Amino acid sequence: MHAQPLDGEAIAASLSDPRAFGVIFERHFDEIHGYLRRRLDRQLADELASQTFLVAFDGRARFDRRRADARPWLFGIATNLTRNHRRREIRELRALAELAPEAVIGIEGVEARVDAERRRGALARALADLPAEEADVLLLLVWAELDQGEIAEALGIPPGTVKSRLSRARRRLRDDLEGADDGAESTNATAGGARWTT
Amino acid sequence: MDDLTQIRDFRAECAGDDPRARAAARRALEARFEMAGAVVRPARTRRRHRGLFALGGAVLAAAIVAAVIVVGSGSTASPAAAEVLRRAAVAAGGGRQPELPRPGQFFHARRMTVELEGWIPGGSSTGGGQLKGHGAFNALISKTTESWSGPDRTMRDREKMTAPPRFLSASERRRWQRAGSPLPGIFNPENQRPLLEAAARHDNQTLVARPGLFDLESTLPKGRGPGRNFGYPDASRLPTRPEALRRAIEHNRDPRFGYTATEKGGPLGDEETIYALWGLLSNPSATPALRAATFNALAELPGIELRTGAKDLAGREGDAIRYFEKSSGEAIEDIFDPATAEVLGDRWILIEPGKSPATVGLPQGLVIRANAYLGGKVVDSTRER
Repeated sequence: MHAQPLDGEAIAASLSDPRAFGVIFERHFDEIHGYLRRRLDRQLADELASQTFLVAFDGRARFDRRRADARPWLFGIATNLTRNHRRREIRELRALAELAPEAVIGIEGVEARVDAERRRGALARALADLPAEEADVLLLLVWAELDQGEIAEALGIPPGTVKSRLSRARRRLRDDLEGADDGAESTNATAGGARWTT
Repeated sequence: MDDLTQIRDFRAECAGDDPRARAAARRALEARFEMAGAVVRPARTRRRHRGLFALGGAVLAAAIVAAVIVVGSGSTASPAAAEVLRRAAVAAGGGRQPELPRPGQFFHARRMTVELEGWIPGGSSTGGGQLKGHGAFNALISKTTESWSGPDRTMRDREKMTAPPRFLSASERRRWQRAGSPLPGIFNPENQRPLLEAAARHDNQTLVARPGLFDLESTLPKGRGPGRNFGYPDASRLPTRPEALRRAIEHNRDPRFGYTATEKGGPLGDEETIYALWGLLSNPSATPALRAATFNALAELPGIELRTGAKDLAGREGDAIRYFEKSSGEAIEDIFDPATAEVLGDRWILIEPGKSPATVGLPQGLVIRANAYLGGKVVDSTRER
């Protein structure tokens, strides 16, 4: 068994031996695909995950090979590819938001699940309402688990911009979720009686 | 619960591994490697390699509806499997030392394959499952694959369609014909064109691509060659005691042996270990001691059953070890000659349709992919068989 090359080493090697790029694919595909799958429907996520590695391979000469980790670079490509499909992403999120829990209201023992589903719907709506550049920063932080410096690198923006976008996104999100909670309590009190109030 | 925690949990169930998406993406990347001037030759060609093929106009006209291949139940028993594997280990241990190509020589290997392929006209294609949407077509594709590889910089891969595509329904076949019988993947002449143009620009590539045939010979740049492993992972350092071999494979870090412990986030599971061990049996550099250890290691793994009287794609009869892959809902049969311990073939049988999007709506029992390994030998040129 051989020690695995660092990402930068593998990408450098792939300039003369394209097959060496296979290590990058094997190492990062699942993570990139998982990130895209959470943002998009399955078919589009599959396509864009594949495209991410094709774009990366074609542009590998531009990768800073001193960097050990190609994740920020790959997530940046993946995120750029999703930009053309923000409408589809919003459609997917709104569809999730529509899966409201009303159908199970009244069944014994489902309060917790209903609450979770309601929050899920509210979250989907809130994410759909975020401006694209704020959603990108937020989801790279939470789903891709990049730190703020890596997000700046991925998106090619200054770290200060990452910070301000993140702050705005979280504020919007909190406002939206709090609004949804208020609305939910009011609706439950009216429709389901005391069992659904807090 | 704060906002970030809520987002972290949101849609987490979607983020699991998707072997089909991975295989399709890998294939697209491999095609790009070829365009960039190198042939990708994975160590094992069972799951991740998706062959390239095309078919001729006459073949297209003769497209027929497939008779769906369905497996019988066979006789299975785990203790019986272990017994047969241990006997095969004895036979393997008495085998000949591998003959490896010297500089200027090549290892020529040949195999037959039938595989369910999905393709989008003028776009991407994938093997081992169906594609949906975008006007995709899906059919069983038969082909032979040959490779010449050696320690020098030159290598050749040749794939040839051997039968018309077999569609799973007459209506699907008619729809394909109405669309002009578009060919799959880069074997569509439309997709071959940029590869031919790229090959013409590089004096280190010779590409013959026409309907029914894709044949690429390429020479890597000076100073770069596959060396003694000639495209196969180096098996010479693997332990030849079964337990130690199993541990080495479970903690594998070389992607050419199959799954790696790194990508799995820990030791490989039993299914992944079986997959990697089976791959070793076809490695041209595997010694009799390593092959014996491999059979013995397989004998100790849970989940393996025996199917006697199994036939490979070429009609050769042998015994098969069979295990179930939970992630895909497929049973995998690895067929070998119990008397000589030679690998004959393998196949993937759909047991639980719909376990992945690539198998939704397909009939239970469908053989998604079958290979027959037709042997290999050392030759003196890429034109010799």
